[in-house]
Amino acid sequence: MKGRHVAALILLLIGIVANLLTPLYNTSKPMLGGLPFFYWSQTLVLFLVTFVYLGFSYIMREDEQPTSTQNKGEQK
Amino acid sequence: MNKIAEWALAGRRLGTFLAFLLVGADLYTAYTFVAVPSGVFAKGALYFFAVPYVGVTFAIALAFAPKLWELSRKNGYVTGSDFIKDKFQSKTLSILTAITGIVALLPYIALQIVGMQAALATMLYYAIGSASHTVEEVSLVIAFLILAAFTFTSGLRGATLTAVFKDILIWITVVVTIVVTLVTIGGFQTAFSKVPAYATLPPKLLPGYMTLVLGSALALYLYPHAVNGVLSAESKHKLRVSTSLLPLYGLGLALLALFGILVYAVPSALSIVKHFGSGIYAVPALITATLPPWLAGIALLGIFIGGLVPAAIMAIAQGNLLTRNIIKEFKPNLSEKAESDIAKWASAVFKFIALGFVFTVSSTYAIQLQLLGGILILQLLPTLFLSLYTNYFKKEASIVGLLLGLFLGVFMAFETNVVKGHFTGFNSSLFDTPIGSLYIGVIALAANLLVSAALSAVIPRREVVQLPQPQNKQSS
Repeated sequence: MKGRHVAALILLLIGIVANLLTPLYNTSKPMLGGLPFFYWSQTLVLFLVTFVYLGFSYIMREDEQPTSTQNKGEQK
Repeated sequence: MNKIAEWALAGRRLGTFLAFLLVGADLYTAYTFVAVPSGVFAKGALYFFAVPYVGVTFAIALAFAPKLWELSRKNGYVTGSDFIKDKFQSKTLSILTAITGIVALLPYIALQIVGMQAALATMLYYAIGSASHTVEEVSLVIAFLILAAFTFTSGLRGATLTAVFKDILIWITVVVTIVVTLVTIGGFQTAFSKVPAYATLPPKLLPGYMTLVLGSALALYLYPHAVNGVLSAESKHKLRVSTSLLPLYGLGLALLALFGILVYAVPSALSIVKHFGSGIYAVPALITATLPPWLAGIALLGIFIGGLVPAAIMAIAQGNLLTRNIIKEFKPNLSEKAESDIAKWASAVFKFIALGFVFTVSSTYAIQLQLLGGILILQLLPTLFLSLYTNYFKKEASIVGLLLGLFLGVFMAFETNVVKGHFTGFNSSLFDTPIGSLYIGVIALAANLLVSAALSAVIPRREVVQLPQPQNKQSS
């Protein structure tokens, strides 16, 4: 697998795993505006993975639009 | 262009932003607006699983959807069953896939109807001042009739335009409601002080929570309407980008889930919920209690449409599957007009059957309808997703695995809801195992994968050999 694809896959795995660390999020303190940690931490994670996935999308874009001339031969 | 594809995929020409909104409208449905909040209201932290579920599902989508899009463009696939028929060279498997898709969508549509009913009943309650049984029944009938009429006439393009309207409406509503509520009650502390047990998840529910996250996340993009949304994107990159942004919509879901807790601190809202006797009224009640009447009315309309549009999209997907991947297998020379006519009428019938599911769950736990659909649709994972990247799974093995997963899932869904010999409705999707109560969908999928993989290992690979004489016909 291309190095780029490995990096992309790792990003996806980071996004997935971050959302499955439930035991780590399962406390009430510290609170945010009266909201227990359980709730605001998972909401924050949801917000952050957006950027992880955008990173994935831009890495994978190289597959369709290679920026270096030597990749031209690999175009589908 | 083929009429049915035209109607179902809006000619595949949706621009990025519209495609984003349509997929958003597909995916953020009555589940988000009323069902999850209702679960949180009734049980607390367990139903907050919907938030990490959203976080994971788009990663799954990014892993599989672009590949499916690419193959569909190349080979003219319109549905997941088309891909499966080609990949496995099996009519049987593709028909089973279509049937699974259709059946899995029935409870999901039922959930949308429940949401539409709740919004309408709240409007009527506000207008008449009564929260009686009749109000709920009338609301159900009206909601259903509007749904039937809407799908029949508009198709996918009409759904898109309404989706845009709905999305804007909902966002404004959610933000305004939460700001006003928090300002009024001074933060979340008041609410959580009324339900201190909701502050965290009881540890014994951790396996259930995590399998609900995983199972729901794997399931979402296997649904026919999600596949339709994927295939209507203009390019792989645009598909990836719009998918990556969808977790932001999920923030709305997180806020709405918290409405389920905030209700406890707003006595006027809590009393509406108690009047109707169902948590499904948590969000409509909070909206009515917090916003000025004109805005509350518009917001409730938004929730109504928030159920209407996805239900319409799902019913369209069902009609499409039935006509293209089941009926056409037996009558390949169907005229275009006949195809799209059958699809439309089939949609109407399916909606009626979906209505039946409305009565199998108490509305407080309407979310279970989506989890039920998930148990079924998850069984398509090996064939619709994994087989995008591998030839490992053989046709016969996949058929056995699929049937096993479906049977096991349905069996467990009934079994876990039987109390003292009595079926109590689909109020739970967790099944007790030695390692905890787990989401049935994940258990059934595991069995499916094991069997599909094991059988595929022992079935010899069929080589496609070119010979001068005709070979014996391969059976499907």
